[in-house]
Amino acid sequence: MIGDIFSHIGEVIVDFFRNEESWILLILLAGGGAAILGIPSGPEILHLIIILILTILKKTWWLWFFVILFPLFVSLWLYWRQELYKKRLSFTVLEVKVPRETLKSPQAMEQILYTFYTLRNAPSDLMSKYWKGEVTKWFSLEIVSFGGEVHFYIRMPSEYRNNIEATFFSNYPDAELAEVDDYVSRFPSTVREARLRSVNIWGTEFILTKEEGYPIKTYTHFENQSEEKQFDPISGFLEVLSKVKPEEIISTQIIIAAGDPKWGEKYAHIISDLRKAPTTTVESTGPEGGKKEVPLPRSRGQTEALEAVEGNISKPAFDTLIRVLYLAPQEIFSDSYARSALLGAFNQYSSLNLNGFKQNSDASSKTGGWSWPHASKTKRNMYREQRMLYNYRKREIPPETFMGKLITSYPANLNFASKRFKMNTEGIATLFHLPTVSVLTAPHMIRVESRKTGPPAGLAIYGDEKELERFL
Amino acid sequence: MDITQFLLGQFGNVRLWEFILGEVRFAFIFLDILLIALFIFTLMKANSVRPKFGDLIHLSGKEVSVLRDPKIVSRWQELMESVAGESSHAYTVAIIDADKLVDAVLKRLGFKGEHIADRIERIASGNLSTVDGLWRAHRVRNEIAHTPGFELNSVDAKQVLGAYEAFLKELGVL
Repeated sequence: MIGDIFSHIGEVIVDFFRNEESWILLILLAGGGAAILGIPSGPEILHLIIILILTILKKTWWLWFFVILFPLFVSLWLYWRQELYKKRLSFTVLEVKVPRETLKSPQAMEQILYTFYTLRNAPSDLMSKYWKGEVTKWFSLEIVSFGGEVHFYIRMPSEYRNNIEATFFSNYPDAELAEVDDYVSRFPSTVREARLRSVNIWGTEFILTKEEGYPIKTYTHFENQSEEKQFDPISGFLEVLSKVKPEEIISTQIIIAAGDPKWGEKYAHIISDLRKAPTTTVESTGPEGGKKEVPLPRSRGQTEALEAVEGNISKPAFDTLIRVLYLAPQEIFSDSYARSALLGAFNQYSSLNLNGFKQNSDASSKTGGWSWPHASKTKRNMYREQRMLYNYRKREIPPETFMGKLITSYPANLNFASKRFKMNTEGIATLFHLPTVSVLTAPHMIRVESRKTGPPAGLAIYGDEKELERFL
Repeated sequence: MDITQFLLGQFGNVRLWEFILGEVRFAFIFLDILLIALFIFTLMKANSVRPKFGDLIHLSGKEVSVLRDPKIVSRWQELMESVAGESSHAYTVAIIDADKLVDAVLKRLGFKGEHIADRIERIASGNLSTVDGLWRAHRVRNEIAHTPGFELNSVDAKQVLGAYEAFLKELGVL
């Protein structure tokens, strides 16, 4: 509680100093005070002040040294311990075989995601945070197209496998989950290997266009329609993936890690801002004259936004990172299709008064002379490609600490660009769910042909061998 | 000194405050040294744990660092000169040398593996048409190395050396 009070006071002080007006006020007060007290002001006082500050610094350098180095040390230490923790994690990749007819809406996927959320782990005390280096374990939902053949994969920490399988089967009874070798081992591991195999790579990360408090257009929007207007936007996505040429590969991963349950509190201000009805000033024709603030009725867009944001922050959210990778042999490499088509597919979910997706161009694997530092474009591009490839293969999450990002940077490629955003279960379910019956890209997916039902009544599956009636 | 003594003097006995300041200074300097040591220790540990993109660092803009390396070119020329005499023995020696050369090149390019066969396997042929020829040449070399008194006529030997040469040319080494 005392910590809260101090942090609140600290925030107030920081906010005070953030305003330029406060600084002007302070300077005026100091000047006015000096004039009143008769202290000599002007250049002499400035000189004196500077000398004073310098002498104080010289006498107490040992304090400032500590104050500056200690947080850096903690940051670096945390990075090291977290990397050790991450290295000890083991993951399993399961392929999801899509049943031929899924009558379930993406809400089934949302239920599965709730289960993912309940598996959340977070460092609960100083020991787990600073010694074990615990971080929230993450899952990866992947849709990959190998030359037009689309596969769905889920990568999870191995210890959660049974949980995930159970929840999957309870929500999608006809789907099948099979453990497979990670397809990523087929990708080149370094840019040099890629060049030698004459394979070119392009990759990027997608981020939100507005604050995370605003949701994207989720599946509920597309569902509340009549029969013929019903549309599963993942079909647009799958169409893009299926149009890939036979030797190309487009792979997408959505990395999710269960986030802080109180994430919505930061965005309560959006709601209060939106709830304030807009006003307009009107010349009053009454006896007083003058202007008057008159409230306007809220526009439909604003009401929608208000409801959407309220709905958004009421659900649990994941720290999300969306990565996309495109690989093709050199002669047929053409990343413009991948870039524009994928961006278009993601932007089916965007809306002007809500949120949308855009490329995180600082993290993308191709840059030009127009971004800082405007030099050595080829080298920077190579490093970016390498980092994108490495991050994709390892399903890396960006380091949490400043020193972590600094130490994983290179002069040609800083690591401060990659970032995660919060998206709630509804949003993730919209992006990744088994295609419903309205999706027609049947030829491009290998589906499970059979249906599954329960066993016939009276089957002795729980009994002992002795209880079976034997035919003699 | 004047200013600080003046400031400290505002709070009471200057001597007392100077003493306290001295002690705090001592403690903090001790902490600072400890902090520096810990920082360096953690820096070394963090360095061993971070991802290294070293495979790129030698490239410096060119894609293959062995591109027309003069040492390799001259070694290959020597190799070819040694078979001018067209004796079977000279050919076998040359083939074994050529295999060693290609192994060194592959190692330099960063291909991992215990033997050259592992390395050649890791080259997904993709657009390289000469990898099959390289496999065949390597098998011939293995036969030469493992069977004593292996006889090789000059036509076959020239073909084998040609396969090695084509591979090195396609990589851009020769």
